[in-house]
Amino acid sequence: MVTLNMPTILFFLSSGLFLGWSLGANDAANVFGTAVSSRMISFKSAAIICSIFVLIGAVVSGAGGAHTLGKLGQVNTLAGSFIVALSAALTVLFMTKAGLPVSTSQAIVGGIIGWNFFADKATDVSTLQTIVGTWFLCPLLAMAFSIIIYQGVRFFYKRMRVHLLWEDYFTRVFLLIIGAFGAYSLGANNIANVVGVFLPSSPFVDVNMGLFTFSKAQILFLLGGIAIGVGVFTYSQKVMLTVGKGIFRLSPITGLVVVFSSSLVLFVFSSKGLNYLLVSLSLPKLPHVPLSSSQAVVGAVLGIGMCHNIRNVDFRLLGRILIGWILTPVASAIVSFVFLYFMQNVFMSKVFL
Amino acid sequence: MFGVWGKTKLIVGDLETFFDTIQGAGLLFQEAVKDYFNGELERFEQRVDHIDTAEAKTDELRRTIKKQIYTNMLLPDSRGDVLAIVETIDDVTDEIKFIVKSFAIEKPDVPEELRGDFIQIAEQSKMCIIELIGACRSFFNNITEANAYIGRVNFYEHEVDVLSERIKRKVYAEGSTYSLAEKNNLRYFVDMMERITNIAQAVCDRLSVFVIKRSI
Repeated sequence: MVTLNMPTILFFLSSGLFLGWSLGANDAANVFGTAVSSRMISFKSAAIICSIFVLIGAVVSGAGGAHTLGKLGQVNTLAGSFIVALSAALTVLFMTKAGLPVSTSQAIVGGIIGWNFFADKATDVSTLQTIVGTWFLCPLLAMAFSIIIYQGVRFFYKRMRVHLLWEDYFTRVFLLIIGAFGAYSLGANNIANVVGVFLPSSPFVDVNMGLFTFSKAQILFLLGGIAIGVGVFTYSQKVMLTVGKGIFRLSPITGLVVVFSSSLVLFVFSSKGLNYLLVSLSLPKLPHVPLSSSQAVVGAVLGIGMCHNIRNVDFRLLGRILIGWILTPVASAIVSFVFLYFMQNVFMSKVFL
Repeated sequence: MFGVWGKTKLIVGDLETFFDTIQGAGLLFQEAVKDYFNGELERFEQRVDHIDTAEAKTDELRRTIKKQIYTNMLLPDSRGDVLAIVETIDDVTDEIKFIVKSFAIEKPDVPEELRGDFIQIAEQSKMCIIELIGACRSFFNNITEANAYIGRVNFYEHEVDVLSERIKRKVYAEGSTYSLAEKNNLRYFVDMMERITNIAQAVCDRLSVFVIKRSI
């Protein structure tokens, strides 16, 4: 194994860390956007809670999604991982600029498939099927969760005759608790998008901390989590205010339902504990797949729209998401393939073993 | 969060006291009008003082509630609606105070045949205020009941309209023995008493919109 110095390691990790920063800047808004824009929670509190719980989620439960991506393709050099993450980041950037629906999860999958093609490695079709099937399930499940939770919340508030001011107070408390859960789920589910491709080529070694061992994977997750935290603190406030007031105007209670529903979806597709429970009940395990938190949010909002009137559902939006599922991985795979070629032939770096 | 818990508890308490005080002013108003027409002027003056105190108290509570809601950034979604209710419902006590003070200062000479109608207006106004407070309380506590209260407020407002029209028709009837000055003075007091239920109805008109907003 070639030993790399720290600046080189950081340079190669930079594309993943940029993805982390971008995730913190954008996806944190899915968790705390409504709470902050409606001034139920201050940005400072939201940013602190979000960063802490994203980090915990990433380090404690981030392995599942990364393992699934690993099954799709073992990007086995640091330079190759750098290009895969960079391709995903650039695809996300350009598609966002072009106003097309995009998800980091889909871009990273495309990037890995591009690497598989370039390195002439077979793509595990069953893993790909699992991943794509989960993308399809994500907004639908979020929609189902939000319908159930929204009806439950409405029933509770009507039956319990809660004073408007106490309703406000409890909504505030739950926005914090559910926001923390949402941040944890986001970290657990999406950290694989940020540093998952670097796992097979991780330059780090396991560190024994006495009481527990910090694995090389967890060191990567920690770095990714820090990058997400930096994204939250440096850029998410603007996005939170846009999400909360621009695209769809949600009341604090409906915002709470949306965050809870979408976070539950991210949680069920990344929780080891839930899988242990399912196995103990002789039920099939759920795959651990990195998902798009934005698409989960869209599904949850549509669910609330359906509770009021089926005509509130914008099926064109679902159609656009569907197009994104095809367009994003294909674009990312092509970008990845081209960049890998340049990295190998122009910069003379080994992009696969 | 613990700070907000305490503040919330405080404002909920203030709102309850605010509504109790307005309702109390409504009860006092009816008794004051009765005392005036029954010639119990000493007791009437005491009631005027109590109404004066109640009005000062509601003003103070209104200011405190507004300040607390704003400074603690509570109810971001329905703050405007709540403050509009608090502002407009406070006009009820202002109007009650204005009416009883007018009676106390101007001491209008209301003929015997019209006194019953005046007392009835005061009774219906009191009932209207009770229902109005019920509507406001249900807006905060149990939104599903608010419309029933609003319906009853509209009923009492209409009853007061009917009564005041009856008085005016009697006053201005052909062959009426009242002088023009007496006619105008009586009409002035009838119009003034009518304003309480008009305010209550205006509050309910706003409230019914807020109820729809909260139900969605």
